[in-house]
Amino acid sequence: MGTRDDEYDYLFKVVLIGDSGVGKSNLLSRFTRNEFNLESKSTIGVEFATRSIVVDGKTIKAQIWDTAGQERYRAITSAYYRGAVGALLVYDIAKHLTYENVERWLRELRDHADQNIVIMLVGNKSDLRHLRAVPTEEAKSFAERNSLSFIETSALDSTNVETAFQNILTEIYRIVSQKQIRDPPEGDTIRPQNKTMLPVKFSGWQ
Amino acid sequence: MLVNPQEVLIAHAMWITEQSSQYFLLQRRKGHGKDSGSLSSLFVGTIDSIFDSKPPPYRILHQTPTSDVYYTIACSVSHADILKDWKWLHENLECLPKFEREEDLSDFVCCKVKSMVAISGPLAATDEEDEKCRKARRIFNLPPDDKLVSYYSCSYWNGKMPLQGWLYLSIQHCCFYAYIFAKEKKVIVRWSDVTGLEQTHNLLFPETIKVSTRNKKYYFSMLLHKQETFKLMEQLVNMTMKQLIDENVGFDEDKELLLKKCKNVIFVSQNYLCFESRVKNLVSLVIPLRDVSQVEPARNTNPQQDSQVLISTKVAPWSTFLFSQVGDRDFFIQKIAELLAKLTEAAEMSKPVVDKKGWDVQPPMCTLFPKERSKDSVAKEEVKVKQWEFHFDEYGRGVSMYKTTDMMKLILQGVPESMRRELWLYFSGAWNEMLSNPGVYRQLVNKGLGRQCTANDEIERDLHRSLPEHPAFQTNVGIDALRRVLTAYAARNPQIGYCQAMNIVSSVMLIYCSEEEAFWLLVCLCEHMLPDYYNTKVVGALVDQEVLDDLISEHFPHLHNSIRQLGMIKMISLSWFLTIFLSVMPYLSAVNVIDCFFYDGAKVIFQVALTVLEINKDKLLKCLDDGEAMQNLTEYLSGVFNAQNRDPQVENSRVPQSISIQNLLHEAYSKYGVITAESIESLRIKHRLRVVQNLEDSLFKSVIRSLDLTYFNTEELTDLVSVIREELVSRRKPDEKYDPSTPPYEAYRVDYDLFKLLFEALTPWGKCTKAEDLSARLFRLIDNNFDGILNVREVVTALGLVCNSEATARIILLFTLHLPPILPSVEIKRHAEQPEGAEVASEATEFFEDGSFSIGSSSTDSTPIFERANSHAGDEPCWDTRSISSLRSIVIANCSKTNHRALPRMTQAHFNAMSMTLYDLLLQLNDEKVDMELPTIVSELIKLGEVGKPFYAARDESTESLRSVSVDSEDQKPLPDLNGNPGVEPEWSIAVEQVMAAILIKEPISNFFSAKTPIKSSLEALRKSRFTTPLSSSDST
Repeated sequence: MGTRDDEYDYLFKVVLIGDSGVGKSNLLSRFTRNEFNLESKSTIGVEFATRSIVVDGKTIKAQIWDTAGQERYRAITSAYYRGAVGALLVYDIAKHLTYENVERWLRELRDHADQNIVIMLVGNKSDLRHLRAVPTEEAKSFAERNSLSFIETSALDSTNVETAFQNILTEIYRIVSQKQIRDPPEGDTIRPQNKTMLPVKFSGWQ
Repeated sequence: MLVNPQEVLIAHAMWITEQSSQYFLLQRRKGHGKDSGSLSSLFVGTIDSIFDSKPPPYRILHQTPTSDVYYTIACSVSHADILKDWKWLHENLECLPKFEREEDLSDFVCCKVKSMVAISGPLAATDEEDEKCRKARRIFNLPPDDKLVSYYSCSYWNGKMPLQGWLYLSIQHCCFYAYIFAKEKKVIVRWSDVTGLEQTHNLLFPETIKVSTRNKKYYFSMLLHKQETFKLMEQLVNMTMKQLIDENVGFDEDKELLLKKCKNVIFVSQNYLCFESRVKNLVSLVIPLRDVSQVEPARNTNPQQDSQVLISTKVAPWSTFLFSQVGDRDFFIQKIAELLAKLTEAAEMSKPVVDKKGWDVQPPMCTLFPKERSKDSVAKEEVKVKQWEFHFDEYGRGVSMYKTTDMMKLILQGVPESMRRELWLYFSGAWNEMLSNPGVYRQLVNKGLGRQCTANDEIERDLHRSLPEHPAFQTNVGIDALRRVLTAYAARNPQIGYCQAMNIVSSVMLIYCSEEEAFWLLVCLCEHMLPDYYNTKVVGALVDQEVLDDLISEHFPHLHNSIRQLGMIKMISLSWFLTIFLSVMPYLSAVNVIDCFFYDGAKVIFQVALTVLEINKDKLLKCLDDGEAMQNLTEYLSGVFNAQNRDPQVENSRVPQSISIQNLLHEAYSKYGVITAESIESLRIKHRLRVVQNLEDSLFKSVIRSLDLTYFNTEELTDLVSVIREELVSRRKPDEKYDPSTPPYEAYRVDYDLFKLLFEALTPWGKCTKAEDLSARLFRLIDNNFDGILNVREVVTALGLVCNSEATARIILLFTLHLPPILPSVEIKRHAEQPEGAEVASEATEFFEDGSFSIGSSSTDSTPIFERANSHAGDEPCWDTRSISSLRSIVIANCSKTNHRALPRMTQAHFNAMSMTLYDLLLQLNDEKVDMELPTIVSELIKLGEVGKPFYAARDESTESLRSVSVDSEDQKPLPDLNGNPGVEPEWSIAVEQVMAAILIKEPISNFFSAKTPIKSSLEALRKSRFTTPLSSSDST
């Protein structure tokens, strides 16, 4: 939070993507600062926040990039996918169009992000029960078909926000640590845990 | 062609006399005709090229036996023409020997020739400029809509030696031509392909212009006017780039300066008259022409101050301006009078429209939602207002007030809240726009509100996310006003529509200005002050980030290096540009930046950005990654406070205060005030090129990625798509714009002309005499929505099927191309009546002029589209469109082996047409075995068709062909003959399986259908042939 946490074992870069107005920025502020602002400003370009969590006794620093959702910013924001190991693809459960566009976002990720990026489909605004336009089951089976993990959240009442981030970070961590056991690290892509001031940045699935 | 007689002193150098008579010589230039191999003719050719003196190679001289003087009286490029002239001279000037004196004789000849030239009139009279144009057009085969702008002598470095020749710059191309020792060298570069343009120096050629494209670099040196040439090239490239990003050029009228005058400079444009002192920033003045009531020469009371011009305006009390020492005064006055006349006409035409539709233009939000202010800041505000009023008293108030250094100082302190409205409007030019367009805002709001479009949806989503901290935007008053402003703008300029960031900027304008004023401020912002910023690719902002990057490397190279390692800092600053810091600083601080921005333009953003980076330099250097850098800058910027107008909300929050906006701006002006609008503009030109080409490249890449690799590999696809792209770029019309919400393969749209070109150049079927026919039918089959345009994926599928699909798939395709309604029966009947030979030539036209289908022709070309006749009214897709769709799906989904059973059987007439095509296709193999096998196959198939007759007649009803689809729709009635499918009557018919079986067992023929077609070399050849004839649209017959 406010204090700089230089000591961490892993640094994971995660991007928040999805149509404009689905609540990406609020998911970010809920997770990193436990704040929700019903009327926050539209994101121009990119915004950024970090938070560290502990998994299996290891400190994981999540570096989360929040991107502008409007179509015309896509060329710019896709530059941020580089080096990201996780992506939260957010749609609004009360707006079907934002769900329909998920496929285009997936294509976007395929084109610009690392092949092995961990993607989680997030149906946000689950508090708007009476306005629901995307059935949970539909999204769930879509996620299964495309081998994405899936969760419904509400940044407003903070349902599942913590879980969503925990899950994706844990999933990334599992893959990374398994990979570490399988083939010992080389070069500077990933180093065994150390508690120095040096950053241990995991950037890519080499 | 006879020409005006000219004296020639040396008649024989470089010329060979072919014929001579008593008074005339017919000569041929060396280097032409028979002896072109000899050394002297090579030499002459080279000289001609270098000096560009190349005369027509034949001429006739007149001479009298005793005189040394020769006159050229005729010249021609062809031998036949000159012989005609030669003959004419001898037939019509028989009287010559009768002259007594030779001078008289010569006079007579010259006079006669002159009169002949005069009669033939303007055709013969050409000025040099046109000559050049035509020459360039001839050499490079430039299209008619391309105009030659200028040409320069220069030398082109081809890697081994410099070639001296001519550089031609046209609107669309950069061309070079040299002719040295019988070798021609042509270079043609399309501006739209240019990725870099720079002036370089090297040892051999100190003054060189380097033009880079994606795959080659060109060096031009030894230019006489290098600066001029380079500037022109820059302008041409820039124009092309703007076309590529499709900027609406119409809005920029005002930037064109009509006049430049005077010691201190006066500028006159369509709408303004501007004055600037030589000493920078000392004083400047803008007078909108609409305020001018009179322009007159002032009488000279003081002889030292001559040629004075008095300009009176309608705005009291500062109504008259006296300019002295105006050079070329009369012209100046006349020009302004002309412009004024134009303006009054326009003003009369636009009458305000008064209509009320349940909404009122809102006054500034700060008057509706007044903020509580501390005593301290109220007092400070009062002082500022006083200072401004002093300034107004002295230097005028209004758009045409004098802008002095004092005013700059006042602005840096922050404009008083109550005066923002007025000053923003004056400085930005919005005032003038608003007054010149009364009623327009209202019209646009009524047009835009409630319209169903993406822009309006996006606006709606962002209304509450613009300036939520201000009370005005927590109620409907502010929200509604913001909605109206944004939708009105989207309606005014659909090219921009709505871009996130415009909401934030507009909401702040609404606080200080009335709704209509805010709208016009937005207009000025989007169309003049931040060019291209908010278009569909935010190109302007991307360009300015590159410019910022350049400035960083210039001002603090050390920081620049580490920033480059961090990578993303350029991107981080995106919101700085797009919202003029409004989204990153508390708005009460950022409005001070806006004050300066409206006064000084976009350069302020760069000044502030550089200052912020400089202040945070040490922190940034310590950052380990881009995230940290971003966090530092974000924190710093959100801590910027306004020392004279403190916001209690911000102060109570836990954001640490960093610097007062007054100090920040002061720093920005004292340290980076040297940055000028001109230097920014020239940097922009430099980067726009790269940014636009990068965007084009990434679009290209995503197009390739969106195609599947069934028929071609990635390399082949890349080549193919790049040829398509090149063709499209050269034909690009402004309305063909890629809508980014569609899949990437829709980005390049191929019309029939281009498809035909590709089909004929690349496929094995494109080489036969029926190629044109086949390509038309294939196009029709593949064209999914019958709009006469294929997307890249469809093109790849069509070409892939013909080139590289399996033999069975190709036979199915061939079969389908001869089925109705792809090949209408009516068409075949007509063929049957015609003798064989006439068929090929007339086929295509008849095919399209067929009575039952009118072919949609949007232009003159013969794009094969179905258009339904009006009698078939109704929204239901008709049977023929539906059957084409089902045929298409059968052809494309060839992988499942059984689906071809769904194809209808073929009638004899269609079969005959198909076998003719088959003959035609196989003819090119030139194989005796094939020639022998083919008739056997055909006759076997004919027999098979006979055998099938009774059987198929019996089980006709149960056929699951698409015929049954159409039968259903017609209430189980058999189809009319128009369809051409076999009806209930037992008829000769044949199925695709039978054709397939017959063809596949004959090896040489089946080989033809299964052979893979490499397209690489044919693409290369195609590209070459197109490259030497750029843009030729002559293939649209």
